[in-house]
Parts: sequence; C-alpha cells; structure tokens
Amino acid sequence: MTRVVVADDNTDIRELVTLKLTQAGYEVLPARDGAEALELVRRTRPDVAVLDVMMPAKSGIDVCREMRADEGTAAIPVLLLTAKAQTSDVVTGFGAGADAYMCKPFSPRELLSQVKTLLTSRAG
Amino acid sequence: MNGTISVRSLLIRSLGTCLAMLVLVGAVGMAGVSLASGGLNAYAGFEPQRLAHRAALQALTDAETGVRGYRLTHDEVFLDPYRDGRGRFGREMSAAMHSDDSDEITRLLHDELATGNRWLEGYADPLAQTSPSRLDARGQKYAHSGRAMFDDYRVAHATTAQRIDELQEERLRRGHRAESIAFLVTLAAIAVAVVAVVATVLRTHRLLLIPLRRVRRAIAAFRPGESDRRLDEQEGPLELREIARGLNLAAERVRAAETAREDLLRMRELAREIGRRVGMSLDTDRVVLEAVTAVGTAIGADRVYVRLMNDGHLDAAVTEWHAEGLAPSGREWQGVAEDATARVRALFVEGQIWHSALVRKPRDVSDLLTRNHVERTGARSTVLVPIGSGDELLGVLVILQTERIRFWEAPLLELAESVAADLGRALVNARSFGHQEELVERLQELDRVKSDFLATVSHELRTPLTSIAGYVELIRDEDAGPVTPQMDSMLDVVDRNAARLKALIEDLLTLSRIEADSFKLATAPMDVEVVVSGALRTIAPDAASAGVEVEVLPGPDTLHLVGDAGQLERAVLNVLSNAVKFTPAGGRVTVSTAETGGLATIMVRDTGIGIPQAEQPRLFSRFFRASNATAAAIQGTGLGLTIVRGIAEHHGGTLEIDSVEGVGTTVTLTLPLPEPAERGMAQLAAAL
Repeated sequence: MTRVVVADDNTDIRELVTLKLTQAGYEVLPARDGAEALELVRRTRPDVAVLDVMMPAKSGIDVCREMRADEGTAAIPVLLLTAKAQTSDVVTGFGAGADAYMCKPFSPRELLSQVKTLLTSRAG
Repeated sequence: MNGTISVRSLLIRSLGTCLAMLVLVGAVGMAGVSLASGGLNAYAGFEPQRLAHRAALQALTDAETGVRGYRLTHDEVFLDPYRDGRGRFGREMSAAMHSDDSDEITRLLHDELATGNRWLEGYADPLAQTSPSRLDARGQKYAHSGRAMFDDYRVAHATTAQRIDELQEERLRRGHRAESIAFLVTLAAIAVAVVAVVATVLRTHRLLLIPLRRVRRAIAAFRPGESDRRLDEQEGPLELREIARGLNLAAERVRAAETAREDLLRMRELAREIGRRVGMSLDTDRVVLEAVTAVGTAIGADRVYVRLMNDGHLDAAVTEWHAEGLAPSGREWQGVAEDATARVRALFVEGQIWHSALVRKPRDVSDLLTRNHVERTGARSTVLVPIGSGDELLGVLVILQTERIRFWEAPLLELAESVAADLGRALVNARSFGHQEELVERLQELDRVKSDFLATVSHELRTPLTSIAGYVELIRDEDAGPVTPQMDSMLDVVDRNAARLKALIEDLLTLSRIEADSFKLATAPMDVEVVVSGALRTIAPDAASAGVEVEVLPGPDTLHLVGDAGQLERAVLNVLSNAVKFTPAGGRVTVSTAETGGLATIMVRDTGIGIPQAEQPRLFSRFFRASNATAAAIQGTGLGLTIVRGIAEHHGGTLEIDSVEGVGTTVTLTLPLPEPAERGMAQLAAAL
C-alpha cells in the first residue's frame, strides 16, 4: 500500500488532505510539525511526503532539505504546501529539493492529482 | 686687497691717470715736433745767405768782366756791367752778412768783403775812372796786380762758401738727429701711457667690474624660493659693499616673507586635510575626536579639546587630545564657570576668536574668567574658537599650550578657525545624518512590520480559506455521502464566495505590493505578442462559456519592449477578463496591438455594458464597482483596474479607459518602447 506522510500544523487542513488521500486508497501517516514529520519519514520511508511550509519546530523547507541530505530519504518525492505565493518562496522551495509546490488555498482534487503525478514519475 | 676704496676715488684716479697720460704723450709729442722743426729751421736759415753769397761772387765776376772788357776794348759800354756788378756785390754781401748768426761766417764774410773791396778800390775803380786814351798805359800797369787781387777775392769767397756749406751740412745733420730723438721720446711716452692706462683699466676691472658682476649675478639669482643666497659684504668698493648689505637685508626680508607664506600655505593645507578628515565621518563623537587629534598633532599643541553645547550651555564633558607624556585631564574642567558659555557666545556673535599668551603669573591676571581658565587648565597660551553653524553656537574648540608660552602666529589662528568651521559643518551633518538614520530605521522597521503583516494576513486568510473550499469540494464530490441538488446549490454559493475571497486576497496583496513600491519588476526583453497571446489562451475558456467572441486584429509582426512579462500578462488578462465579464453573450471583444511614436499600445474593445459616465472618475478608486455591474451581479473585487494601472505605471506606461454605458468600453494600455538603438538588442534577446 502506498504510504504518504502528510505534515501540517493546522488540524483541519491535515485532516482534509488525509481524508482525500485515504479515500483515494493511500495509507496516510499524519504529522503535526516538522520535527515529527522528519522522524516519521525517516522511520517509515513513505512513497511521498506532503509538507506544509510554515510549521512549528521545523519548516517544510527544512524537512525537505534534511530529507535530501539523508541517503535513505533522498529519493522520496516531496510536495510543498504554502500560504506564501511569492516567487521567492517557490524558488526557495525548489532550491531545497522539493518536487512540486502548491499554494493555499488549493483544491483537494488538484492535490490528489499532483500526488499521483509524483508517484508515477517516481515509478517511471 | 683689503683697503677700502670708493668707486668715486677709483674712478677719479683712473680718469686722472688717463688724462695725465694723455697730457704726457701730447707734451712729449709737441716737444719732439718743435725740436725737430728747430733743427730744420736752422738748416733752412742758411739758404738766403748762401744764395746772397753766390750772387755776390756773380756780381763781382760781372764787374771784373766789365772792367776787363773796358781795358781791352776801351769801349765805355763795358763799364755798365762793371758799375752794376759793383753795386750788386755790395748789396749781396750786406744781405749775406745780415742773414747769418754764425760769428765765424760773419768774420769770413768780412774778410771776403775786404778782399773784394781791395780789388775794387785798388784795381777796378781806378781803371774805370781812367779815360780810354790813357787806358793802355795804366791798364798795363795795373793788369797784373788786378788779377792777383781778384784771385785773392776768389780764394776768400771759396773759403767762405766751403765753410757755409760745411755749417749747413752740420746743421742738417743736427736737425735729423733731433727729429729721431723726438720720435723715440714720443714713442717712449706713448708706451708709458699705454702701460699706465692698461694698468688702470685692469685695476678698475678688478676693483670695480668684478665685484659689480658678482652683485649682478647675485641679483639675478634672487628668485622666488631662492632667497638663501647672500652677498659678501667685505669685498669690493665701499658703494658695492653698501649695495651688498642692502641686498642682503632685502633678501633677508624676502626670506622671512617666504617663510611666513610657506607657513601659511602649510597651515592651509593642513586645515584642508583636517577638514576633509573631519567631514568624512557622520558620527558626532568621531568627528570631534578626529578634529582635536588632527589639530593637536598638526600644530604641536599640548592639549586640544572641544566642549559641545548641551541644552544652551557648554557641556561639562570634553573630548580631549593631549600630547604624549601628558596625563589626560579627565573631567577636571567640570563645573567651569557658567560665564564661559556667555563668553564663547559673545565671541561667536562677533565672529571672533580669542587667544592669549600669558607672561604674567595666573594670580596677577585681573580678568576673573581668564584667571579661572588658567588656574584650572594650567594653560600658558590659549586659543579659543567658537564652533557654530549659521546662527547656532555648537561648542568651542580650545587649544592649550601648558608646557611653554606660545605666541600664536596668524597662520595657526587661521587653521584653528578653518577647522572650527569644518567641525561646525561636520557636526551639523552628523546631527542631520543621525536624524535621517533614525528616520530610515523607523521606515525600515515600518516596512518590515508591514511585510510581516502582509505575510501573516496572507497566511492567516489563506489557511481557513483552504479548509472552507477544500471541505466544500469534498462534500460536493460526495466523498462523505450523497448530496441533494438543493444542498449542492447552497454549497455552490459557499464555493463562489470562497473563490471571491481568494481573488480578493490575491488582488489585495498585489495592490499593496505595488503601492508600497516593493513591487519588483523582473524586467527582460520581451515580445508583446507573446504576452497578449498568453492572456488570450487563459481567457478563452471563460469567453467560450460566456458566449463572447474574442477577435484579434492583425498588428505589427513584432513589438519588442523591456518589461516584466509575467506582470504585463497579468495586466492584459485582467483587462480581457473584465471585457469578457461585462460583455453579454453574443457580444464581441476586439484585441489589437499597434506601434505609434515610440509607444506600444494594446487595445481591448468590448461591446459590453459600459460604465456610467458619472461614475467614470471613480474608476481607479479601490473597491469601486460600477453600479450597473453590481446590479447585474457580476463578480469582482473592484481592485483589477487599480492593479493594471499600477503595472502600467511601473513600466512607465499609462492606462486609458473610454466607455459609453450600454455601448461598450475601450481600454488602452500604452507602454514605452526602448530607444531604437536598444530595440535591436531587445529584439535579439526576445528572439533567443
């Protein structure tokens, strides 16, 4: 079963993403902050990670960077979610090694298709 | 030669010598000439005597011929020559005797005359008086003695003539000798004169001309900056020594003036340098420290300090520089009499500086303030310069000499004044810079707060909006179970409003960035065509669903300019979206591009509802929405046009709207094209 780590400090959004992905048949491993997300990723080695950028303890960008630095997690696709929409933020995100980027507010449908794309490209 | 001689006596002596030599040569010459001529005269003096003497012989010979003729022919005709000769003889002999000064010749002439007379009286006369008839007898008788007597005469004459010739010869010789002597003597005199004149000339040259030349060279050598040369005052004639003394004195003065001038220039240079250093800093403490240090080291003072004004009085705190080896004075000037402020202010108002060199003991100073100052600071010489700017007194610069008395020279005072003026300006600069820095800091803080606020607002608004829109989507996708049509239409309202809120947030953020001028243009060469077609592609689905036909008129093939393609596309899209939104189904939107007079224009014309004339002036007010738009329940935030205009203006362009209610609206976006020279580059870059 495909495992997805979803990290967002906002419960409503975390559950929204979890609901959408679970219904699509994925196993979702939720995390409430960056540190937890990183720990979860390292432990479970998911197929994809959906990370909010603005999180306490560790930002999504930091988590992404640390994942890339670790050989075991370097290959896991990362989708960043952010409320910031400025160009500089996008650049920072990709610079940290993110594979995709979505701005809030986003549509759960689009998120699901993005995750699917990431999984496909990874499989390919 | 150390004896002093004056030019006057030298010249008198020289000229005297020349004159004397001239007289000598003249006199000797004259004497020689007269000597020579005397000899020749003596020679010439014999000539009449000689001629007369010869004539006498001739006369007597004529007489003898006459007598002899008479005796032989008896013709009395022959007595005529006789009588004539007799008379001439006497006359000539008399002439010969009278023209000679030689006793010997006179004696000989007398003898000769006597022999002549003997012949005349003893022979000729008696014969001549004899009648012709008795002549023969008598003639025979006397003939013999007559001849003998005549021969005596001839002998006497010859003797005299020979003697005359000898004498004349001798005199001629003597005359020639005298001439030679005179010539030699004259030559010697000339030689003596030449030697004397040459000696005089040499002496004059040595005593006068050489020192004169030295003076001339020395004068020629007196050039600006070369006033170190001095003339020897112990050489040459008196007058030249005086001139040398005068010149040396003048050179001394010139040297002093030059030194003073060099001092002044050096001080000015120093002042400029200090002013430059002082002006380099914008920090008050550093400015003051720089100034006191620079002044102190530059002029070799013992202490230099500055007291700034604080609340209308000179501050007790000082910024001090002191010479090496001196103890810092610290705060020992605290509590200096309040009168000090008044004194400095008075100086400042009068535009003066105060300086003193104290030769008396401090307790003898009558002026209390000065005594106070001297006792507190131990100053022996002081310069006090007010520091100010315009009418404002800022402080005072104090220069002290505590270890010795110093008389302050004018250049130094000028330096102090100049530095104080620079310090005043620097302090004002530092102060205004301080204010500006504060202002900038506050503005930066404000800007940061605003950015934070915007980021926070953005985040805080978007997060709940994500939940609202996301969950509505989940429900409507029937992820949580079936949704009735009624529920779906209600959820649609929620969805639409969420979308509107989202648009509003985006527009607000964009607008606030534009207005804060922090809106950064990512400018690059770009093609207008690309921008317009991009916007057209985006709007196409909306236009299709609204039933509005979008027509693109052919424009210039390429229209290159330098700008932010993303922002311009957003602007064009905004205008197109308005056009589609406000045009009823079946209407038409026409897009055209053109190039006119260095400007690119993008024109979007629609056949929409238009904007009421009365409301047009408020078009660019934020959140303004036309009444006919709200009435028709057309969605919008009222921020679009403001954003488009902001983008246009950031590109140096303009936005114009021409609208007639019920007929349609034409929006024209005008953007400046690059200069022709740059256009080629833009074209090239856009094509790459």
